Amino acid sequence: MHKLMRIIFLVLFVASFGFAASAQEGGGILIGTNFGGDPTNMNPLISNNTVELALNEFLFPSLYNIDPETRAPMKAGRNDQDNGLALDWTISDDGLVYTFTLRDDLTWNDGAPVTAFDYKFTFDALASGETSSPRTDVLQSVESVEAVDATTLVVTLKLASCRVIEELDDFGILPQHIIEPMLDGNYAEIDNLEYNKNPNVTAGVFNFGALVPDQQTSLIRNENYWMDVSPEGYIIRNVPDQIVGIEQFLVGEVNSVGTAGSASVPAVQMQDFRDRAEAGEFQIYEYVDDGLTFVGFNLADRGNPVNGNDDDGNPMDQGKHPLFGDVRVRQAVAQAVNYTDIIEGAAEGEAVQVNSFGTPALWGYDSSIEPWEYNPEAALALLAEAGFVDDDDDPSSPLVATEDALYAEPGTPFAFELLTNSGNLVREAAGTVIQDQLGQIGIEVDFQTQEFGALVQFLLGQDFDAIMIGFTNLDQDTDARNVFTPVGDLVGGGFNFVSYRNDRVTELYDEALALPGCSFEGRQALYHEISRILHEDLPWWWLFAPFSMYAEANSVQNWMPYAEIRYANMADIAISP
Amino acid sequence: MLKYIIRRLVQSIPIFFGITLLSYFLLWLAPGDPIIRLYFAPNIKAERRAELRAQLGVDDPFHIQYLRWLTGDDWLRWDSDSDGIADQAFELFTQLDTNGDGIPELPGSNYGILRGDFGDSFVRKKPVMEIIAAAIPATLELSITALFLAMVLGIPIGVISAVKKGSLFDNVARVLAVVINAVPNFWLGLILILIFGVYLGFVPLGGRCGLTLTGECPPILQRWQYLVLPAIVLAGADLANFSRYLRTSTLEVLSQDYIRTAKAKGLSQRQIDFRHAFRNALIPFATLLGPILTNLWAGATVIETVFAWPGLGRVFFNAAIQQDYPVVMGIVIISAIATILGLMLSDILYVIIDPRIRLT
Repeated sequence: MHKLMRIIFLVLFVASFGFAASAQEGGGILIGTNFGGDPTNMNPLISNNTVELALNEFLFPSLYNIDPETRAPMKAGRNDQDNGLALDWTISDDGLVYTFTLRDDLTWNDGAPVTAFDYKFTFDALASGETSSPRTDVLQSVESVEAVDATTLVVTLKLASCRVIEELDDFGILPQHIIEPMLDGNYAEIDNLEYNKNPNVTAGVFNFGALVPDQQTSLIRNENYWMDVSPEGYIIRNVPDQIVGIEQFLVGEVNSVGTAGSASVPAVQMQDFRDRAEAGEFQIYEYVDDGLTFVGFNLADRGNPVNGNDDDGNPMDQGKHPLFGDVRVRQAVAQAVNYTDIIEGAAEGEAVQVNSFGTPALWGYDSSIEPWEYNPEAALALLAEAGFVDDDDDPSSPLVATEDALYAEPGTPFAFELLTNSGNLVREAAGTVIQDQLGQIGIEVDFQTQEFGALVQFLLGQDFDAIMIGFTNLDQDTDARNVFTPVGDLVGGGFNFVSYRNDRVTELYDEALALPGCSFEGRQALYHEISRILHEDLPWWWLFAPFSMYAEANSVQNWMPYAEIRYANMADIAISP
Repeated sequence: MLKYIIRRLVQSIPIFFGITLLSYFLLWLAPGDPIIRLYFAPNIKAERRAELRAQLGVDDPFHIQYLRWLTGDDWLRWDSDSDGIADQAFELFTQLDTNGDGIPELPGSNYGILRGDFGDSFVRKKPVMEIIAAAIPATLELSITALFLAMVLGIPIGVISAVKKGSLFDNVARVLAVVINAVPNFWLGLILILIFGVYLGFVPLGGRCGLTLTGECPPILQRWQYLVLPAIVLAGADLANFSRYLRTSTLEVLSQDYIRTAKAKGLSQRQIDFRHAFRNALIPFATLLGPILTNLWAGATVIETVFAWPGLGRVFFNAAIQQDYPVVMGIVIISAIATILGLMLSDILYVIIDPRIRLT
């Protein structure tokens, strides 16, 4: 036995030398972590998950650069996560023709120039409808894209759309001279190209290196980039979960938490990271995330879900939810819960309460609106006005509907089902707080967690009372017509799963979309007006937007992060040994 | 013997189909579908998701999906005008709209698993067999190391425990065997990572080799520190089982008449223990080989996930989460075949080792 123990310790001792040697392999390489699985398709038309999108940003050029500070489209400038082509663009008076002037000094890594023809080819592939690209929104408004010459691109719209500028930049640009010969005239082949797994001709800061399934994806410095690239490469290590990624960072196996596309310091560890960063152990950067957590109230009759409009666009009778069909009830619920308890108790204090759709990270969000406040007395008064009272003076039993209730039968107890996805500890904790605090004013909540796939079926099938879920990576442009107008109210697939309808909101979205000149201020004002209506109407119960935190080792030098744009100056980053 | 093997193989056919049917049915019952998981976002419209769903055929009824997976659909084509080109198809199955243009294509690309076509992964867009083949070396590396550790340590411990029955060694070994068996291996793995990886820094926290820009994994001797912890954890339960099993069978053998005879002949205790007792105690152990191989694979699913070991288990775990049916079913099929063959191998080995047993 003694011998056995000695052997085991000897093995571990020797192992430590072996590991020390391999840890130095990181050298001048930026190493991040990803727990979302391997990239499976790096074609920028088709790629979809976080890591694929992160890789795309360093491999493919895009139409223009996003300003890292404002996150608005930027003429010229620099953002290494975009490597944008456009130096300038003009919009015709009727808003239907966009003319882009592109730079002429960008090349693919095989030496061929990146031109307007590449963009047109990529767009045409998307417009063919033969690929499985999810980025088809742009096709709703764009009539055609023409490359006048290598540096001039003309986009003609079917109808004026102020969102089109964002939509035109929704995909990276493919090298026409490489891809087109592989297609044999059939765009559907784009889905099956070997290039999608091994994009060997690209034009970003890095070239594609290698994908080792379930282990790592590597990018290698592009020597042909338009400026000198400092880091030797960027490796994204595949880890089984977030915690392992954090621990690998803390022991120095990787020098960055998460990827370019995800921050990945969990809320529960943020304070510890702050303290340690202050002590000089590593660097962090914090910001309010561009996603929010909310509770969607089903406003229609869940027993008979129907679309918002019929095939001719006429409103359908969807019935009313007996409780949440009445806006006063929704407003009462929104005042019956202490948001501090939710944010402190569920989100570890690492979130900010939101007042309407969006988050303070988005320019369409109106921070001047006062969020709903905890006021149980006001909530009870509002419920009484809406016809829900405590008929037995027993606070432990639910309120019941009286004849004054708009949609509930008299005698109906105020009880509903709240669903969320299992495994999300923040939402599970938030649901418990909601269940407890609503219970204190006589609202009985049957809080249930469901496997994500099952939850989505309830959600898209509009078969629920209330659902707590979150959206991440919201567009800067807070146009949410798919979410809050009848066009998205499609049973089984639409994202207006709460069946919200407010003609004024629909009008405002239309107005913001077609605003002459597409002025930023004008559109922002319209979005702010929508925000105020949504705040009062509460189709969703606005809860919170989480904080996000990047963390980099001290060895990562010249790092200049921005919210949601982690490596705008990737080419300058130097990793000391 | 040959007759027995043939009979067992024939008997395995309905078992095999039963496994495929049940597994496919359970997958089909799982809520959601791959499209929902891949494309759950407000900016992706319902129509687009429906198109993508039609391309994969995941909205077809269960029996159609299952039969298509099992038998393929190429045989449904026929040549209506005898020009040598299959231009029509029997409408037994719903035809797939593989390019999403709203018009179903003629069947023909899918041969079905009965003819060795495991299909393509929904998520990775690669042939399933290619994915499995890429992951098998890592799993074999881990499983064989774990099996080697379990046998090299477990068998001697079991024999010594039996020979020194009631000694301190025996008692400690028995208690440890129970403890190791009782502790969930994923928990043990995490604790070992915490101690030897995080606190002591002796071993890496996961993976199969160091990170390099080229993604190359050096030979095992240059990266064995990555293998130490997962192999120990994977070996743990089998090591405990081997030692207990060997202890019991050795004790049984030691009470046999021929052992007494050997003693009476004046053989030394060492000769009795290792020449007579140990060899005979190994006979029932052979029956464990089949289940051991299956268990190692099953255990590897969890261990590979905990240690980020890029083997078949991790592929299976990720595919199950992503509802990547072809990959899950591909691995289920291979496991089912391995289990059936493993059990048959055990039975055959038993006969070979112990001539008193006859297969009927």
